[in-house]
Amino acid sequence: MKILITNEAGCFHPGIVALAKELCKDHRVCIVGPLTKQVGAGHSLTVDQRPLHAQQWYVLDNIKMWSVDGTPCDCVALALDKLLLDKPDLIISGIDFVNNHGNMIYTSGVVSAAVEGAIQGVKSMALSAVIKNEKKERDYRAVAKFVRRKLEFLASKIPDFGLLNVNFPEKIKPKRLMPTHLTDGLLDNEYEIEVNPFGSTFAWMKNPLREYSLDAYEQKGDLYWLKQGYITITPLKLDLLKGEALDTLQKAGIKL
Amino acid sequence: MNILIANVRNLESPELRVLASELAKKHSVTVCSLEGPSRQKGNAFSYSGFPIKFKQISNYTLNGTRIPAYKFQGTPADMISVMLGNIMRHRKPHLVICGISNGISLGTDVFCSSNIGMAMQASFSNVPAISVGVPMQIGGHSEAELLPVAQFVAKNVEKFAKAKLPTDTFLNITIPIVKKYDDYQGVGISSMDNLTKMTRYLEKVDCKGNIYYWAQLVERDSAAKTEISPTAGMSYFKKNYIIMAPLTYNCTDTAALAEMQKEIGK
Repeated sequence: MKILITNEAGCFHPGIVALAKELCKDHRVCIVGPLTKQVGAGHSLTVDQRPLHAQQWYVLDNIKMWSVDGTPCDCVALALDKLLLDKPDLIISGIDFVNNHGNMIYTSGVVSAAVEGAIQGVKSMALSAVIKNEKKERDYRAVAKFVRRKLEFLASKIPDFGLLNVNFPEKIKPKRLMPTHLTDGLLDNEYEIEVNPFGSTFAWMKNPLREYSLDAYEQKGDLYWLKQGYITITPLKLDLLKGEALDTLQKAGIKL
Repeated sequence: MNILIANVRNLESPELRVLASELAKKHSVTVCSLEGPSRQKGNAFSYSGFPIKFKQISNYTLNGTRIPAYKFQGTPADMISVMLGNIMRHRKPHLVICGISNGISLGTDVFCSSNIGMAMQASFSNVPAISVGVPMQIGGHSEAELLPVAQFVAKNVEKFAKAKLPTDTFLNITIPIVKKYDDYQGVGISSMDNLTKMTRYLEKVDCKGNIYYWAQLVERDSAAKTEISPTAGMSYFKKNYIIMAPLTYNCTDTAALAEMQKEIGK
């Protein structure tokens, strides 16, 4: 398979390197990743602010690597339109060193890059794990090896007009695989307000990882199964229309 | 009602002022806006270790009345998050209105839209939210052009807040620009998902010989060739209908999940 790998932590990050090194044993792999860390980039695209630049690097044998001075979604869109000679068969975004579950997927650059791939008509999946030391390549190897072994299976599960979101717990047990849904119930971010010596006001996020309400675990979605030590697989769709709400909206009596 | 109006252009933009002026006639309105580039930011957050700078504007007035106003440096989602998670934490609005956006979001455009990102953030906090967009015009529309849009929102604002939509749902409202309110032909509920845009790049070379790329949004190849179905939202939109689409942030593909559970269960 021809595989494009991207991430949000940067094209030299150990997570992307570990995955590329493992997958290139069986496949044609190319990395197009952001030049700098893009944590929380979501589905942001660099449009009218400035142009993008891409640079080719010769770091890994047999693996073409491009850096783009933009977001993860910029990387995917630019790779598919300009940088790659052939359209890839699969786009893999990751390996992220924190899980991306529930409503957090919208803020994640890793999941959003896979969404962009799916929008552009390429089978895409996002991989996120709990990594002890995000800077150590060997801490990603267990995930990378699992993905290589199960790649055909995972790729076959990507829905049409959608993508796959795969999360790994801290300890991987290959047989503990759970197809599940996204968890709802993100709590509001809390901020601490600070006034700097020049009198400007700033809001500092108190906890960089958003938390879920207590009943979120009872939904038995991806958050719950990850805590139980399962690898979770969640098929996501690109059509956000809420069909069930059409009738309710009709009854609301909104008119001219 | 207590309403928060969020905009990504600036506090003085006609899009914000005309909407806030109409709503402030009957409701308690708070406004917030970003400074700086904020197109196509989706749900991006400033997690990079920097705080979000904001300022309360004490002398912001509409129709001669002072209105609480805040301007932010950050992403659209940051702004909603700080407003609901801090500034309005103990006085949550009954409705968050995102817009008026100079540009509409169809189909998969919703993922990268700043306006939709803000409405989605509000609905994460269980606050009813609507995103209001009009067709894009370079430089934006005038207050006179946007007045009928604001009038429609103001007329139905209580119905939007009390629509009893599921908690994971918010509204995406696409409104045509007309000369006067009576030119609107009706209100439709539809998806309009067949006319989405794709990101493509224009390749150029600078004076040092370096290649750079400008992003441009173009019609999806297949959609460009598809004729608009007469029943699709866009065909009504072009006849001056206002189109509403209920969107959800719960995007689990339940059909694919059921199939997968069956197979893996075996």
